[in-house]
Amino acid sequence: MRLKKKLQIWQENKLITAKDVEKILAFEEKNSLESHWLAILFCFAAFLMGLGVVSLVAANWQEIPDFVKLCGALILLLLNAFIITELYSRNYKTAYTACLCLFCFLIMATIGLIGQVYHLRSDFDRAMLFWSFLAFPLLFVQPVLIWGWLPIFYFSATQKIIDVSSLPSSFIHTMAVLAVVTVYETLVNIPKYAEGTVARATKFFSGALLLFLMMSYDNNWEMMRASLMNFNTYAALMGSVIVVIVYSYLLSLKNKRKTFMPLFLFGITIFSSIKIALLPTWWYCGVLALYAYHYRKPRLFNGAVLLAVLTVITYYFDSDDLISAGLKLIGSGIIMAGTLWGLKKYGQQLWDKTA
Amino acid sequence: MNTKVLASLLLLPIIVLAGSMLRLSYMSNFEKVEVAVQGYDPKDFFSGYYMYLRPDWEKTDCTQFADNVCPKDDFNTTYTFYIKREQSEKLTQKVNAGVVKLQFSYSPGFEPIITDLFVDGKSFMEYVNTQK
Repeated sequence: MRLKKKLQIWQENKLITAKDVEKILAFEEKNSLESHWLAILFCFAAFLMGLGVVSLVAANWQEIPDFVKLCGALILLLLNAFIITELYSRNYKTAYTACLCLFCFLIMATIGLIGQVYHLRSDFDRAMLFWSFLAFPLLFVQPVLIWGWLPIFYFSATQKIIDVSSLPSSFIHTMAVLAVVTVYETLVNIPKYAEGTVARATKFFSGALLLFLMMSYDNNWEMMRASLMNFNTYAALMGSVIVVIVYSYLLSLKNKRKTFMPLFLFGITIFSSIKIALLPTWWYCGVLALYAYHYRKPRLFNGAVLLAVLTVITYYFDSDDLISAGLKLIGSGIIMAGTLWGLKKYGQQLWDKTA
Repeated sequence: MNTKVLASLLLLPIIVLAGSMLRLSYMSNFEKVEVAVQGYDPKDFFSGYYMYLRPDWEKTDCTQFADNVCPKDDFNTTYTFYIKREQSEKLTQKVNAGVVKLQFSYSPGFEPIITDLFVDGKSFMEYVNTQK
């Protein structure tokens, strides 16, 4: 840990005491971890809102003149860019990252809108590659975005630049070996990568995606996109999520601090794989939250509340009508962001009151 | 990071997108040509529903082009025309009946850009309004 080393040097040179070191480390551990995961969850809320905007674009509003639609998209982008710079200058880190995430989605939605207005040939991979090109400068603005950027670039580039289906099987097997080695190397070097978000994200995702590519090699890509229920694809996706859960859990063990992120990811896995009735799930989440509250486990409490919110979101994906799906997704993003804001603002007060 | 650097990095994709819009808008103002089509209707992930249309050069009036020759090589083999989901069924019937034509903005050396779709001689919005 860079900070730990620095503090050690300062302590050795008698600039600070051992007690100060402890206090600083405890403060940094609490604040940096919470804001990091909170930023990711806020980004998830922004992801839902962005997906809602994409869905509204896809609904094809013929009644609105093309010029108004295109100008509206540019104004929305400019407005979002303005908000991002304002948040940055006022040092609102979490909201800043979430708005950047939304900005990425607005770029995607605008590409879709241009394609729709000018009736450009529907080419998903080309559009995604164009998006990767446009979103690339944002990686310098916020390196965390690489978690979303890299898989999109990887898939669109491999589809557009390399025609995987025509490649010899020896190449695929080489990539498979590379994938296993990369994942293995990442996992055994957890302490080393625990420091750098970008290095960790890059290595882990490249490994996981190569693995994903290998597992879905035998499938028809078009079919895979049309329906994600294909068994191999489903297994690959779920497998990747499970690896991320284990990885995140191991990281938390290594850093000797508890995090509700593995629980959160576990929740997503469960909800994305099985349809659970709304009321029983809320009941389950309610019991979990009460248990957490009673035994003073704030992270478990937060996880239970978030799981309840996620249950509602999974139901929104059922809608076939693009306009209502878009509006519902935007609504669920707002609910999610509101819940997180509430947990952040009033969570501490809740625990202080019962102390 | 400096706020000015951040603002310019955010403006980069907006400028490129605005540039794409202007370029396509310019290309949509060339001379208009009509091409007969055949097709079907799939769904696109993020642009919505569209008719997947294939130019039918045998049914196209080639006198609208220079030297009365249809420049087949200047056009793609397939085009997409974005529509609403509920419009797809009736429009597919019209396409199958051979009464649908695509209007392009065309100038040699540039990629033809779709500007309208004609059903029974009516522009797409006119056709949509008569269906209400």
